[in-house]
Formats: sequence, C-alpha cells, structure tokens
Amino acid sequence: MKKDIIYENITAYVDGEKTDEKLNFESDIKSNKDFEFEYRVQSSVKRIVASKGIFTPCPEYLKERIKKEIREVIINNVNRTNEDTNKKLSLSDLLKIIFKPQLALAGAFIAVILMFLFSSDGNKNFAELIELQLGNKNMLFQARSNFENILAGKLKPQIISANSEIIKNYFRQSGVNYSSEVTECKNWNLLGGVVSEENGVKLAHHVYEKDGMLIYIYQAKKDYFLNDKILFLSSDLIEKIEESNYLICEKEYKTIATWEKSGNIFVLVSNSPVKTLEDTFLSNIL
Amino acid sequence: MKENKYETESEKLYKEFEDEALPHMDAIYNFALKMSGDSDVADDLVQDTFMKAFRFFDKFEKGTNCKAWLFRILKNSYINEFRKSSREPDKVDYEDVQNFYETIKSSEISSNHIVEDEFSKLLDDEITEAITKLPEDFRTVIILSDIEGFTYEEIAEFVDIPVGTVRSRLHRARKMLYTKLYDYANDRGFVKNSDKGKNKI
Repeated sequence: MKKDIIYENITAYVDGEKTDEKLNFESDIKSNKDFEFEYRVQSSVKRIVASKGIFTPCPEYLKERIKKEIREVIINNVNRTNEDTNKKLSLSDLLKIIFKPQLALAGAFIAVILMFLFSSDGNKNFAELIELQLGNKNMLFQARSNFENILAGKLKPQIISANSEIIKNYFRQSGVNYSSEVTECKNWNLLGGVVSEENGVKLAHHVYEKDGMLIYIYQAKKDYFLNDKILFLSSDLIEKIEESNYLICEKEYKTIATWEKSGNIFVLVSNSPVKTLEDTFLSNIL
Repeated sequence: MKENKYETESEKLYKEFEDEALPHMDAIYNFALKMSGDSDVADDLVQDTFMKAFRFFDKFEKGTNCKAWLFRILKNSYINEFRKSSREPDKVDYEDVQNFYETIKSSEISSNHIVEDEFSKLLDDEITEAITKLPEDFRTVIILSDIEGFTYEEIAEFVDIPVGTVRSRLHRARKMLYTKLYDYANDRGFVKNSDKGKNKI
C-alpha cells in the first residue's frame, strides 16, 4: 500500500472514521516510527484545535436582533392572514344579509356584482393572477413564452457557462443596466444566459438544467415596472409579490414562481414540480 | 374570546424553531467568523442564515440533523453573497509546507522527540490565528471536524466533495497546522535543540 494512503488512513483512524481493513493500526503504528510520528501529529493537532482554538459564541445583541426580526415576520404574517380572513368574513356576512328570502332575486344580482368586485380587489390567488398577465410587455407572459421557445430549441443561450460571475459579466457587458443575481446551486447545473431588449433596455435571463428538467429565470429591475413602464405586471400581482417571500404554482404542467430580491423582480418557469423546485432550488437561492 | 388559529400556528412554529435551530447560533456564528475573518460579515451571514432557515423551516425534515441543515444554508449564503467580498488569505504552497514538514519529521524521529506538549504553551490566539491563515478549503474541514465535530460524511455533503477528499484534506490541513504551530513554538523558544530561524517556511 502506498505510504500516502496509509498516512490518510491514520488520519481517519484518529477521527474514528472508517479505515482500510488491511491495516492493523494498533500494531502497525507502534512498530513503525514513521507511522507513529504521523499518528502523533494528527492526534495532537486535532486535540489542540479542539481545546485551544478559540470558539467565539454568537454575541447576545445579534441573537436578540435575529429573534426580534423573526417575531416581526410572524406578526406581519399573522396580521396579513387575519386581514384576508376578515375580508372573507365581511363578504359572507354581506351575502347572508342579502339572501334574506324576501330579497332573493335582488340579492342574487347584488351578490354577483359583489363577487366581481371582490375578485378584482387583489384577493385572487397567484394561479388566477397569472391568467390576467397578458400582452407583449408583460413579464410573466414573456417568461412563459420564452420558456416554450427554449424547450422548442428556438431560444438558445448567448453565453454558455456554469460560472455565475461569467454570466453576470456577460449581462453587464451586453448593456444590462441593473445589478443582476445569478446563483450557483448545488442541485442544478447553471447552463448560461441570454440578454433581450425591450424599448432599448437590456434584460437578463439565465437557465439551469438537471436530469432533463429546466429552470428559466427572467429578472428585471423593479423600477422598470413602476416608473419607467418598460415592462408590465398587474398592480395586484406586484402587491402580492411585495407581501410574499415568493409566489409559486403549477400551470399547464409548468411551475411558475415569482419573487422580489435586491430591487429586482424575478420570474421562474420550469418543467420541474413545485415541491422539487422549493426543496432543491428556491430554498437555496432565497 | 375566539382563539386565533394563525397566531397559534405561528407560535407553534416559532417554538419548534426556537428548540431546534436557535441553539446552533453559537456554532454558526463561530464558523461564519472563522471563514470570513470579519465580525460584521459574520453578523450578516448569521442573520441571513437564520432568516432563511425560518422562512423554509416547514421544509426542514424533523428528526434530521438541524445543525447540518443550518450549515448548508450558511454555506450557500457565504458562497453566493459574501465570499467575493471577503479577503482570501495568502495562498500557501503545499510543496513548501511538505518539505518543511519532512525536515521536522526526520529531525524529530532521529532525536526521538515529538513537539506536541510544547504546543500547549502557545496562546489560544496563536492557535486561532494559525487556523485562520489556512487556505479556505483546508480551514473549512479543520473547523467542521475538529471544532464542530462533524463526521466525514457530513463534511463531504457540506463541502460537496467525496469522503476520500475530506480525509485527504484533513490530513494535509493538520500537517499545515503542525508546521505553523511548530514555527510559533520555535519563535517563542519552546522547541529545544532547534536551530532557531533555520526551519521556517
């Protein structure tokens, strides 16, 4: 057996890990000065690091800050959920009043109008909102169509690289005028990126792959929706994005997700299921 | 008064998070500080890690290793957002380390004495500085193994390398540390019969 392999087995032996069965450490180490030296170096360094390497605990102010921030997240979530519930309750209460027998016909008419009004006041879920994202300037509409083109081989990466920095550099050099986020992810292979143009403004897109599954991500500066009107998303969807960590749903065998991060709005389209994406991708990048 | 089920659910979630995840704040902070070498960066990393962990706590498989799960989140934050801005210690030429190590080894084997008790006279700060000066790949495995007590398999999953590479990196990392500590001990006159200043990397 090569000496280096024996040395590394000595390290494993010191750490109580699995070693090569052919070695008998008790006798081999004692009978060979070379091995004994390696054993003592490995064990003494391990001991000294464990006993004298300074362990710096988390400062109390930071622990308190984190706990406070988590509590704020909880309070905001509870308040939001309560607001939604209260809205639903007031609608059902109204319907109960309207549906008194003597007012049945008029009540039914008013109920239809009320339901229409409530359905357009931001209470729609993400899947319903997606259906309302139409038009060539709509980012979600563009993203869904781009994804279909990628699957059909009509849209190919302009830059092919698994290195996030190279892709971001490409975005910058191609005129993308905002700070883009491209993340390397353990479970997905970064494939490359594309820069598109909308009214003279350059926009960043990138793609991941894993076992025949694709993730396509389109990101744009939030200002492009609010002030510059370069791109469009309905205001109730933008509001929902602002309130959530991310929105996700399955639509026509595709997963669609959207979120806001570092001043950009992101849209993801993938042929991977929701759960897989949440577990292997979104939990790593958000 | 009617019970608010959302408050109850959130309280339950927070309680679970408090029991499972928050006890690992010290370990996460210590690792973040050793990796970044900057307390402000460590603060941001730890805060980012725990906020993400809370956000995705419903995805955490109860009964599995929460500490390892938190370390994975920390690693992603570190790689994606902080590593680029932090300064990497000067590169170490492993061949130089190996040559120096072999010199110490032959002299110690022939003199029948191994410098190890002398290390205990070194200050804690010196040990910590020696760890911090290791290249990142080696520093990571030393901290995870010898300070945090992770198994090779856990380290392999964390660093995303095969178990055999963990073993080999740890072996080399400890050799590097040994030479560094020998240097410190020698400078402070703890090493007897040494030709002070001659054996240096």
